[in-house]
Amino acid sequence: MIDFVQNTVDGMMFGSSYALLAIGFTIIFGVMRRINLSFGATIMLGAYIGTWLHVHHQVSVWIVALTTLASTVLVGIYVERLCFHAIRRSAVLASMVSSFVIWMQLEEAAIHLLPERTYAFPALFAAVSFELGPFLFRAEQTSMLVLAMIMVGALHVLLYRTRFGLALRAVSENPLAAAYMGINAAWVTLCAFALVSLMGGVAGYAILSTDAQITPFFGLWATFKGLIAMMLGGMGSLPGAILGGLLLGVVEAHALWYLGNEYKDLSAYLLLFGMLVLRPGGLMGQRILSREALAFRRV
Amino acid sequence: MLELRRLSVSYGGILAVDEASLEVRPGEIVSIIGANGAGKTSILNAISGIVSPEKGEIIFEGESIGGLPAHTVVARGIVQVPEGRMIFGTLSVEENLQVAAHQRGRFILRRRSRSSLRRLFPALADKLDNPAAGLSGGEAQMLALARGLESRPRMLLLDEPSLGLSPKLAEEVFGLIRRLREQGITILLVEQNVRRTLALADRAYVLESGRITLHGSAAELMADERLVSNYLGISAPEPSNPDR
Repeated sequence: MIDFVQNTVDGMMFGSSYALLAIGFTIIFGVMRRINLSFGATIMLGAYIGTWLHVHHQVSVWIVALTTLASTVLVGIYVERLCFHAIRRSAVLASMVSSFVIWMQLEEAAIHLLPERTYAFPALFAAVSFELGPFLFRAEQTSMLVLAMIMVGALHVLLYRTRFGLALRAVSENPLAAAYMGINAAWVTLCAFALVSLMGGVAGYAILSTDAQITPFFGLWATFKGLIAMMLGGMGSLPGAILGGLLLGVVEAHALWYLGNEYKDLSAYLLLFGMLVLRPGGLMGQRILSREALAFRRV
Repeated sequence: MLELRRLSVSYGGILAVDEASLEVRPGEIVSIIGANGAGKTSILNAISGIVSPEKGEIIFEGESIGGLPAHTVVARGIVQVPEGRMIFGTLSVEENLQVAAHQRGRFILRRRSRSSLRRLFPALADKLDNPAAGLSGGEAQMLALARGLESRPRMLLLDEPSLGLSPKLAEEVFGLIRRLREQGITILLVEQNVRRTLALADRAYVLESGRITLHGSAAELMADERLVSNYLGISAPEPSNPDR
């Protein structure tokens, strides 16, 4: 029983980072109705720039953390300009393919920056743990959960209490109506990319700190985890993204404990497969869909 | 106030508006009359920057605004209330109003005062927290108009404001348009209901297949036999009209 609780808590801590990745996919899907496949690679390159500074200029861990966040935002803006802004809204497939192509480009850039296979990633928190009753907490995982909670809280305030958040929700529901109301959808979209890149940067930094190493495969990994968590929760639903991330983390933690490391990813894929068969809209997707149907019928 | 000079709009090579010229003077209600597909909405969309004109000029208060993006046009004081209302169903009534006011507001959203809303839109004032998806057709049209006014436009472009409304609700909408003009807002109106529109408007333009074929004061057009037979049915115009 203690193991079960411990695994669940560990899974939720790690899952909080999956939730941040899933929120990134969900917000861009909401605004653009497209999936940004290069989101994971964006975070990876941002972290690589931070690591590069550490390897070649021995900057402090704080500088690495800040550089990782700042460069993830810049790479996110670059992706938006090149593969979403430049391609017409109606060309859904073209921008999906181009986001895949940019993924490859960002991976190449990272390999040119630091050509070896893996590098140590400088963590902000030392690998210490503390005990609370029968349970063990690792400092870097606890900080991951705390960071994610702060980010989600800030996002909630931004979306529901500010003009920018309102404009973002308006563009997500109906870009044409938003244009009639004088909202600059291109600017809102650019800011949305910067915002989710910042959140992705935080999640990426927290995950890489826990792993203590970075490889170019981190891009693929982050894209997979974020997409799976989003689809578990339901496309385009923010509560769904959080639930999906936590669920994915918990299932992985239990699979790791009871089945072993080789079944960790497999169990995640099986979970997604089962969800897509039994409840294709995801955990929260059905409700969102029916609410939109209501909107269409009445207005 | 607003002048279109030989405006042409086309979609993928198909001409929707063909060298249309018209003028709206300050304080006027001017109407564009025409059958479905005549290009009425295309003219409004070109003015508000939703589509780019192919040729011709759009002059607003002495400056050319043709081809400017929609958010710039709204900032200059022209707001379009689109056909079909385009209310944000997932947002609350209040949020729908705040969306429109976003260009001149603070970053942090604040609750609006209800008193100003109650004067023109009493039906909405008590439903500010309701999701807009739950409004009736008439309420949704009122919200669309109220939302258009939130940006404090000097000129409103109204696209089929009475479409899908019962005669009684349509009458309310027309009454509201009249009050807006009294407040100094200039109005360019596109409507299917020709008789009612001519009763309301100062002047009107008749659009056929993208071309303006006729224009004049509302009274002149009401007396025009061809217009009357094409758009009002064959019966002669009513001798006295209670709307004017």
